[in-house]
Amino acid sequence: MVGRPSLRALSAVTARVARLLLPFVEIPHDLANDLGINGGDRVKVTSARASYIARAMVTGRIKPMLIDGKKTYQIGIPIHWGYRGIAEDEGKTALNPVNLLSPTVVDPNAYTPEFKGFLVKLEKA
Amino acid sequence: MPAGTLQIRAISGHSGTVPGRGVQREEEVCKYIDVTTCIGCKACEVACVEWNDHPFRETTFDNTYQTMPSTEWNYYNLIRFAEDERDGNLMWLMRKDQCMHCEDPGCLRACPADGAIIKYENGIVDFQQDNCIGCGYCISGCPFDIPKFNEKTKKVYKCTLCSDRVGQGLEPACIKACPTGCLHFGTKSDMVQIASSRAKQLREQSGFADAGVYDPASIKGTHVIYVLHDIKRPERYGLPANPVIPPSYTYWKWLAKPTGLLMAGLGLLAVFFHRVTVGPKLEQPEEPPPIEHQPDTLEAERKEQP
Repeated sequence: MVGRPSLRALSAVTARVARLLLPFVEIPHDLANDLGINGGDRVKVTSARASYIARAMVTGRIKPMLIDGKKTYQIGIPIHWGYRGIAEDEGKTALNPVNLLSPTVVDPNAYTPEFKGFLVKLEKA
Repeated sequence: MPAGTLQIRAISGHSGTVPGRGVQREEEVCKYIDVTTCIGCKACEVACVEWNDHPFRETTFDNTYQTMPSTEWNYYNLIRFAEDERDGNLMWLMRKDQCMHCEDPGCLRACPADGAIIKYENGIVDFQQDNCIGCGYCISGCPFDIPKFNEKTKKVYKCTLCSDRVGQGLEPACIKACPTGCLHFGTKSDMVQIASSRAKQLREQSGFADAGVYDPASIKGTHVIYVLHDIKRPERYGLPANPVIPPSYTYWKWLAKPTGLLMAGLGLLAVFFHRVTVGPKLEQPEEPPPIEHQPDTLEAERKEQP
């Protein structure tokens, strides 16, 4: 089963990924309070291209920004995950990886994605 | 680090002194963890699981990056994450949590099984699962809540400070895997010296006025020491400020248990002496038949006779 690799077969890096948690979205405290999201809730992040469902990680490490007098938030999906794992198969999180959310513009030679910051809608799933 | 246990003391038919005798200046080892340079990458967690050949263990999501709520029987070390907000400053604290290999181990004092817990000359406290009876006293005797019980095998497990690696002159697996070099291994005096100078550097140059070395004297020191940003409040990192072995274990081992045994012994002696002096139990005469209910108050007599 692809999502459940044996520890011995993995390099240190991917094994460290296995030590990470369910796919999650880092959300600032203020935004979480506004939307009524608690830590561990399922949330849906939608961009112009696709949507993504993961667990919310409510954190104080991201502070809101005041742009033109309006409170603007930044949410983070620092691990964009890869192959499907146990959590996806058990229906706990989305079947799409995060890469579907970002603009599908790549460098023509190296296929490096152009941009990883974009506008999204966050809601409870 | 040379292997300490098989050093030669005497050689037959050999002229002169034993070569290299007394060269090793110190036996005691120590793991020094610099919490200020830890990045929480968990390479140490992976290395430990790999070295000890433990199976995959499912992770738990608790709104932090922490892999699971506490160490487990097959997960000896764990990075604990805490977001600590004080005076408007947020600090993301990460600390590597594992057995502290105390100089005065609570687990060893509490354990009733012969040979289940061994403390080596170099300070490592190791569990010998073969001799473990699965009572779980070590779990409550530990001031840091480290040993964990395995339901299937009914034994208790914890970090061994890679006693098998250290015995061969290698450093523990976690130290080998650490990418930032925040984990160090060496003799206790060396590690205390490096830790103190790092704490001094933090206090003088990095603005952490309360930085210090966590090496609690309340359990006579540990063979795993930390440098913390804030030594005055170790609870921010999940460490007890003054770890002590629960006094009930000391009372049980040194007072209640010997007293109980003494009482039992004296009781046996008393029985023996009574038998010898007063004599054996004699045949008792037959009990008379029980008397019919006798009214023993006037009231009852009046009630009985209508």
